[in-house]
Amino acid sequence: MEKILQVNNLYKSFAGRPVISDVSFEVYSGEVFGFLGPNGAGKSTTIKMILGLLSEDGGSILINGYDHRSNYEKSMEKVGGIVENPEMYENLSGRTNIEMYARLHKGVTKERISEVIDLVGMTLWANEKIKKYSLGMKQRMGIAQALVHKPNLLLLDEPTNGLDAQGIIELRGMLRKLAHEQGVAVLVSSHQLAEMEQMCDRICIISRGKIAAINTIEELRSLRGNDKYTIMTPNAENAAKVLGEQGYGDAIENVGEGCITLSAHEDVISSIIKQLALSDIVITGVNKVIASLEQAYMDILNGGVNK
Amino acid sequence: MTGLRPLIHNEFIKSVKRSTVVLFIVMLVLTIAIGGIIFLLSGLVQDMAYDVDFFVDIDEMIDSARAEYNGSGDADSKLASAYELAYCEAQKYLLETDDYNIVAYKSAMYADVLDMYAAAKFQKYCNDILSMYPDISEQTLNEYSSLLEVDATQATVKAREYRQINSFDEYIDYMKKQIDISNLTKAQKEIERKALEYHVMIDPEGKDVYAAQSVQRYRTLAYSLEDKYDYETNNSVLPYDKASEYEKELKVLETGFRKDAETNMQRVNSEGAASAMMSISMSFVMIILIVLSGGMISSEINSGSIKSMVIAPVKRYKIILSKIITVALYGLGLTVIAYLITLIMISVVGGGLSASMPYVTSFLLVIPGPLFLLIRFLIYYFEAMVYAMFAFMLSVVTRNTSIAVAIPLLIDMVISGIISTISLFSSNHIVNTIINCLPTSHFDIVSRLFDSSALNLEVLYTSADTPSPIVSFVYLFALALGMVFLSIDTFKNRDVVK
Repeated sequence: MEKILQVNNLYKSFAGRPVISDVSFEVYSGEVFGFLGPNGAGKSTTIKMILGLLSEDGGSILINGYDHRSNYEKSMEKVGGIVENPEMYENLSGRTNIEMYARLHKGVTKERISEVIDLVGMTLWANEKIKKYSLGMKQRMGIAQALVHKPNLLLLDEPTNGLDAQGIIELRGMLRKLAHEQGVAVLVSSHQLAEMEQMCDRICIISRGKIAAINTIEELRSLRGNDKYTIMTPNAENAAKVLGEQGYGDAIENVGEGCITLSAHEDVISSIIKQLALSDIVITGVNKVIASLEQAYMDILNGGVNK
Repeated sequence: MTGLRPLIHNEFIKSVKRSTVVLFIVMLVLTIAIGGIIFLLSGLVQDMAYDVDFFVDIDEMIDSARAEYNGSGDADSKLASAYELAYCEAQKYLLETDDYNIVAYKSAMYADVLDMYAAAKFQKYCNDILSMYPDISEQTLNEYSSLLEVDATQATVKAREYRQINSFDEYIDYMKKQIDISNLTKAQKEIERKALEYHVMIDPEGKDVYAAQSVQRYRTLAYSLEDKYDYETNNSVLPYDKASEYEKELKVLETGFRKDAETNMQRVNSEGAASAMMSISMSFVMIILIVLSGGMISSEINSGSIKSMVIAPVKRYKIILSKIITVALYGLGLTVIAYLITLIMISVVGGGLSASMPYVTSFLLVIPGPLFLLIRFLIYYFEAMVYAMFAFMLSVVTRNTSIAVAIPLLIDMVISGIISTISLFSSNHIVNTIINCLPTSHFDIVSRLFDSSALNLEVLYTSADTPSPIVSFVYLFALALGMVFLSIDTFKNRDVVK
């Protein structure tokens, strides 16, 4: 895999207070790289620095092998991105906005512009002025704009903001397709773990301006073994007894009024449910209370696990 | 790597609104319409003024001049006030004759009658002064009286004769006869004949006040050179440099007269109308450019749309340069539109611009009227661009559109006026030097480069130590460059977003 983005020891301070320190990571072609962290962790700041909106106070950024500082125009040639909300020129149509952006890049044809507009499903709206768009429509148009010059590095800051459920699913599919089929390196930031889990191949957890961990989803999951489930059942004690008899006693964490809490791996939980059903235990509901990923995430944020 | 051209293309799409251009043209046409009405009205008012003494209370002026004349004083001040009094009385005499006409040949006669009548009156006062101050030198007296050499009876007779002239041709014939029988020297007669010849040449119908004024200018210069007496400043000494300046201007005038005759252009007050149109339309251009450039960076930063430019592979300085070039091209476009509208209006209303105006006296150039107008438009455009660069710089530095627009407008419309008023009334050398160092004093290059006295118009703004127009041009150009540099530097080194 080709190394598209390389960030080395990035440092940034606002009014003397460091907001990003010693951030280093790499993004390769063909992967969706997630940038995960709570609000104010420095996700947006890092992305803004990569996109040239903020100057770096220290460290270096290399895109496609070109240094940001010494070779800015070359390094930004194949980069697309959206930061926060995709602000466009409100008085102009979506198509004109994209045409203007495309003009700043080499070799973008009119057909390509129509193609990306079609890709985000905005063909019907493309000639309307941006000010008539909803946030979700702007977001789609912004993605079209970011893709129009066929970048090999795509940076999206909180791209699911303002998108409806269907939009999120479509975006997820689109990004994975771009990465896995066309070899684009995609960097997505979010503060929602579930979203990242479904979208990304690798996740970088960032906290208080520092990188806490960089792992694949699988690695993260395995960090903290089992998921936690609650099974709703009117006769919890009976259920606990059945499970104990069947050799799942270790999984039981707590038996409460009308529910039983289990700690088990995804594969185990299905057989537990099967056993309960076979023993005529009435199950009214099964909930995944805390996923292992979430647990791991919380641990990492609290400084429990090192990279 | 992206060049500047696509960036400029984008800027035009973003900021140049068709509605602004349309509004600009509509405003210009409206201004012409309103200006035309005012122009017509002012003609009526002027006619009225000669009837009802609209502008000046001549009696009051006579009273104050007489009070001064009767007051105590030495021979010199008595002579000065006598001169003043004689002129006021002559003015009154002519106002009372009630048949003054704005038509140019009559205005030339008016001036002559005025001079003669005043001379007669002055002679009378001089006799009185001579009896009061027997020791007054002959030379002092001559200095005053040499200008005006006819006596009262002659003036009255001539005035009556003038009033019987009813056409320009009659006027020319009459004047030719007068020259023959006059007691002028041979050279002076030659000057008068030539002046008449030029007048007929450039203005065959005798309708153009400016033609009459240009001819009058010719006479003043020619007489000054002939008599070695500066008739412009009433100075009995004509220094060498002044003489060579007059010679140059005389040549410009003569070339201009011939050119005018060749192109057969009529000049019916179009010069004044063109100047008015120019300053009005260019102040529109300046306001539009200030508003445009004041919002160019700050509004994009505030709305966030600047991000899509920064993300693109474009160096920061190119973003700034493309915006500045857009302002410059847009302003140039508006200037050319304003110029063309003015030109069309003048050819429709006033029959075209004169070629013979001695426009650039010190360079000995005769520029065709339309080209001369274009040059002045371009100088105004340059000044508008300096203000626009100021607004642009404020926009980059403060990131606040209101401030970036309001401060230049305030300076242009209020503060520069206050400063020039102070300099007009201040006689303190230090204050004037400080004022001359301020950028605002260096604007209005046109009025200093093309000395309005050469146009024989009223000199509105003369001060001994106003900066030279070339220095001003260099200074303002450097200032604008500095502001562009500061804009680029600030934009390069500051974070675009928080």
